[in-house]
Amino acid sequence: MEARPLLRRLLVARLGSADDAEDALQDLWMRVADLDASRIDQPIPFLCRMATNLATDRRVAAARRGARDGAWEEVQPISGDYADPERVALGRSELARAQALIAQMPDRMREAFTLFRFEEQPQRAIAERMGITVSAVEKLLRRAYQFLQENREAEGADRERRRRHDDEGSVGA
Amino acid sequence: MTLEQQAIDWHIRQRDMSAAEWEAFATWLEDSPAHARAYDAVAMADALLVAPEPVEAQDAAPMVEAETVAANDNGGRGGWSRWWLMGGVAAAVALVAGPVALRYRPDIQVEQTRPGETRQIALNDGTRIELSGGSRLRYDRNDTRTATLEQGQALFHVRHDPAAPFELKSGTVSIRDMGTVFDVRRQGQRLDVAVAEGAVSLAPLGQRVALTAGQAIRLDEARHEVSRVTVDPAMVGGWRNGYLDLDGETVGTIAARLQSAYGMRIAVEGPLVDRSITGLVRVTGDADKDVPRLAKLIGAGWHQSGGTWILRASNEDR
Repeated sequence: MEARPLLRRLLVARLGSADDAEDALQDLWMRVADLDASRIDQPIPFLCRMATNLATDRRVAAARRGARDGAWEEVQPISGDYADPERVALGRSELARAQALIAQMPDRMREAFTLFRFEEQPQRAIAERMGITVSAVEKLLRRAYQFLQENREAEGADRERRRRHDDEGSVGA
Repeated sequence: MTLEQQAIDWHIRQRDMSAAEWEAFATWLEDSPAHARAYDAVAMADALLVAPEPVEAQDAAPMVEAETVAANDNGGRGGWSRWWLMGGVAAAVALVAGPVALRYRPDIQVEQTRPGETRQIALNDGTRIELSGGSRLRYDRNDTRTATLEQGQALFHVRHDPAAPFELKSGTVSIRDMGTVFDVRRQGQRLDVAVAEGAVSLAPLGQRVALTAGQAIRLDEARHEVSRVTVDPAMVGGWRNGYLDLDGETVGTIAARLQSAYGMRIAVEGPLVDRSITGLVRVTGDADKDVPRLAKLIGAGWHQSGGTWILRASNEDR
């Protein structure tokens, strides 16, 4: 399959181990076999997305186990810039915290983010629904993800209470 | 742009990226371990998010459709449950629009069956769920009146509570019980719902539909098509006894169903993959028996290669 080298590259880069990547690739093929291939418009992007989601699931599972068995830690130099993956190994109470974080977003940001993330609406559709431009939607989404990251880090580093970006609710058309 | 911003950009664009852009993304990840790490942080945080939960009924009331009654009535489980169950997608948006007060902490449980495995799940409110092979169901132990079928098939025996109807979500569709035994199958962008007893209501593609015993709906999200069909109520959930109720499904889809439910590896070659089949097939779960019989039924030839069964139309030249 022509997508295989690319999928492998993505998985190796995400998982930090050729063995894990190979394992994930097997898993991916199993899942692909369940799908009706004729319904998929763009097989390569589709598979890439599946692969990267699969990699994320594995990273989350590994973090949840509290294990460093992804070999990722050995491969990646520890950088102070990013929270340790274990920190986002969320327990159940932290799921509630994630929800609370979303609830704290400014209204417009939360609306765009919810449509994008939980209803999987394309950015174009979100723009129409909110009466703003696609690039305004993109901006809101970027800020929403940044908001999640900042607040996640703030929690761990104890340096800043959660910030509200009230000014960002007004990004308009 | 900081690495974090770059990572976020890649993450947001992912749904629309071309093959070439995916190549560029792979290269970016490979460029530096810090890139991979930055991306990991964004993707993991995102993966752990769950859809916002219901808010206070009072906050939400102005957003509620006229059909929703007694949203402010705080009887039962506190009013919001009824409200929450009404609007499906619209409600999900409304939910996050008002000031939010979290009512409880979710306790998310994911049940996943391997191909060929089935599982019985008893929720603490008396609802029973039978999960077919290759299926994934997510629910909240602290709110067992709602669950999500992410993929595969399940039969729901719902203990009805008019104050807090059970709601099953799958993709963007919400199915609300009105005292019911119903079956749901999710396969990619296709969703089938069939009712054995009682009734359910749902709103696929924005159309509100009620189904009673012996009625079913087939939703194809890729094609934006919904069709209603009649089924034999006795055959709803027939998969538990090995019955495969085929309603114009393609051979390719059937092969995928067999793989998911029983772990049979079946490859379909040539135009046979798109041929539609209607009928009722009994499956034992033993591929040695089932595949040749299915092949005969649909007029196909079969052979085995490794662990895979290969089907192709018998009149095609090899």
